[in-house]
Amino acid sequence: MRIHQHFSVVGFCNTYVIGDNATKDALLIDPGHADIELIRLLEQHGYTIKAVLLTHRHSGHTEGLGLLKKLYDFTTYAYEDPRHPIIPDEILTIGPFEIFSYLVGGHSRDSVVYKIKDALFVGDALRAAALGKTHTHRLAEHLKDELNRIFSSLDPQTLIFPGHGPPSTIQSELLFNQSLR
Amino acid sequence: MYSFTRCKVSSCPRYATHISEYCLAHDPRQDLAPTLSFPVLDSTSLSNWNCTEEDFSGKRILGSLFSYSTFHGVSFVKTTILNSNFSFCLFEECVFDESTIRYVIFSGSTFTQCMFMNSSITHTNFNGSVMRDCDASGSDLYYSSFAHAHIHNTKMEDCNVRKADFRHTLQDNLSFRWSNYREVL
Repeated sequence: MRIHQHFSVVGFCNTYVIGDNATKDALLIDPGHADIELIRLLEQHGYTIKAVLLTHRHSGHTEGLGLLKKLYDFTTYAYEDPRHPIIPDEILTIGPFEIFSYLVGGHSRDSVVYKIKDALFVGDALRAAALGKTHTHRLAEHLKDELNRIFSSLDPQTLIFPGHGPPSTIQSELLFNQSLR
Repeated sequence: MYSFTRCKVSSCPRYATHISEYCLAHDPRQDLAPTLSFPVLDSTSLSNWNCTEEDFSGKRILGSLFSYSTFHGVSFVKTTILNSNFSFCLFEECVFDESTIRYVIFSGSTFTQCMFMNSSITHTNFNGSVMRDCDASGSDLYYSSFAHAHIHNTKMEDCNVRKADFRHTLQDNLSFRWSNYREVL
């Protein structure tokens, strides 16, 4: 499994491309902006996009969908999507990928976290050493509890890929993220 | 990139190395020299590695796992490190000058007398790290995070620190001269 990051200067969002070396199938997570660099990344590796997963539907994480839809044929999954909904706490199999999703809410009503092998894609629920933005303290408490519940059930070496900023690990967040305490 | 294969010893929580079914601790007979001679280290997995005076200058390190390793006198000059995990490592007298480092985790690591001059170190996680007598002058630190880090006698002069995160950072004789410190998060 290969994980590629693409940083968009529009919205400062991280888009992740998860590719399978053998089949060349790929998943895209949060295409905030589709530019020539993202398309070059996909073409250089010969990837076929099987699906786009949205951690939540804020525009900064979805605006690239329009252009990508014109270029490629794929299915878009999101929580409460009318056609392809993500069902929390269940495994979704897309090609060679097994995706487990957790509904966390907090930052937005539809915020989900995806686990693919030992990698967590948390969207805006978490940034390295900071909790995602929420509208109220109560939502922040809820988000904190949900993330702690997920982290306590996984290996501390699990990698975390947020929607904004640098990657992290569960162990780093448990040690250095004050807002999770 | 990112080989998540576990050590074959059932009670061992570590990842297996990229050249065997075991982690370094359980399979010490591995000869690492052929792998390390490659110009591109892709999906390398060497957690808990003790690395002394290796020369990685000019190489590309991609999607690799080096957590809990120690690096002494290692050269990363003009090295490209992308999407890799160096968390909870120890770096002593290592040189990262003119390197390109993106989406790398150095969280919880300790850097003593390390040089990062004129480098591009963006989207990199230094949270909870300890830096002593280091110099990152002339570097681009855009969107890198130093939250909860302890930084002593270190220079970050003439650096781009836009969107860098220095929340709860212990700064003891840390110089930001000529850097755009007002643009940190």
